[in-house]
Amino acid sequence: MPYATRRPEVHLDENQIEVANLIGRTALADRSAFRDLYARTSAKLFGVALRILGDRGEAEDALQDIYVKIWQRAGQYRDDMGSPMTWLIAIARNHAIDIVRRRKPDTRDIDETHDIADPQMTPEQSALNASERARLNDCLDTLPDGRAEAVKSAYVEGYSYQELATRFAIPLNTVRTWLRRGLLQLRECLDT
Amino acid sequence: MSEWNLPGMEDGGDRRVVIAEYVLGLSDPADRAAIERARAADPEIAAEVRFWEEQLAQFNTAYQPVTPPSGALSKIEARLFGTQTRERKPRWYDSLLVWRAATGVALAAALVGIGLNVLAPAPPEPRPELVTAMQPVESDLSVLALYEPGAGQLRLTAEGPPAGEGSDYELWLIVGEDTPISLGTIPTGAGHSVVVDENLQPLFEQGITLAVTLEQAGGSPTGAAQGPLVSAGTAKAI
Repeated sequence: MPYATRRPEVHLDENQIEVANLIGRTALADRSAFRDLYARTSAKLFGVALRILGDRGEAEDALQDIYVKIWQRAGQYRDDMGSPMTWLIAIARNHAIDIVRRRKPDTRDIDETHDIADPQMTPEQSALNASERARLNDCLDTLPDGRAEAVKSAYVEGYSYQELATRFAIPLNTVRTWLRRGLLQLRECLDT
Repeated sequence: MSEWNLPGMEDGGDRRVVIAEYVLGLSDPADRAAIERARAADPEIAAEVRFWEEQLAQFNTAYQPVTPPSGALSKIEARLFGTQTRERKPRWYDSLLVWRAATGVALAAALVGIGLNVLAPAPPEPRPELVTAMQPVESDLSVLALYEPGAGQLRLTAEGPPAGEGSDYELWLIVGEDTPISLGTIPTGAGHSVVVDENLQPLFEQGITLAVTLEQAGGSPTGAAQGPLVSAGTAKAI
């Protein structure tokens, strides 16, 4: 078992602090801070757009829209909104999902298997999130019939109910209830 | 408490589940809009949204970083700020904002350097004197300004090169994000006084900005700053 340093809950990752500072300066129209922010975060956000849109050209266009939104909304970010990276990824994810929903249905090949293995987390991330991740993973493990995988792929891939129905072979007229029951069970587990 | 009247919500329905769908991106457009309104108005709903966002954000590790194409940033900047050819004179307000962001600490240090303790809170006197140390912005011009509310005047010492033939330094009062108000042109050197119009006197308080731009001789003919920002400072009560 590798040595793991137990960090107090209040310690913030240095990289996250820097990203938060850059967002704050971007809110003051500091263009060089915005460029630094782009340099530090664009690979991750491009990865988000690419994963959800599945098309490089669309992802490139989306990335521009995403950073325009980041410039416009930088003043809204507050510490209590979670880590700055979480906030940035939410902007990217929501934008990409809006684009996908406007497309004709079934334009994505949802049978593609993506590499499920997550990229390496930093040791700091591992230590900080360990108990939270354990809680979520334990609760997901309690969900029956592939619902855990459905929750995860709805999030990561931005699947619609139509796509979930196809992917998990659930009839379309029952997939909502199917997933909602899973979400309720997950929610109640997370409360305990 | 908001009312949730959504189709398909058998089993009594649970708004925590509706919110989870919203965060996942599964809500239909009407529900999405309703939750966004509710989130702004109801702290319980906002808290539930944050709860799901934090929990589900643990899945973000699944996104592999991919380097975007190298031209992307210039396209983003072109959309936000205009292209290079249109940008020969940077908007002086952008300079002011960048100055504000970058020089908070430097300004405090400058004021401490001239003997003022900016860390002590301003005493709660009515109409205190205000001092403003305007720092150079890509220039060599520094201006120290003392506002005397009793006399309604601003005493200035401007150090640096003169504005030059055909040009003048013009002084501006900026309150928050409002349009700058001209206080007239100022010379370099010590001992210059600006009488402040009585309508403007109530605006002089701690935290306002005084700024100098380089304009044509006689000042900007339009009443709005046209030239580059050369010096700026924030007023502190003493």
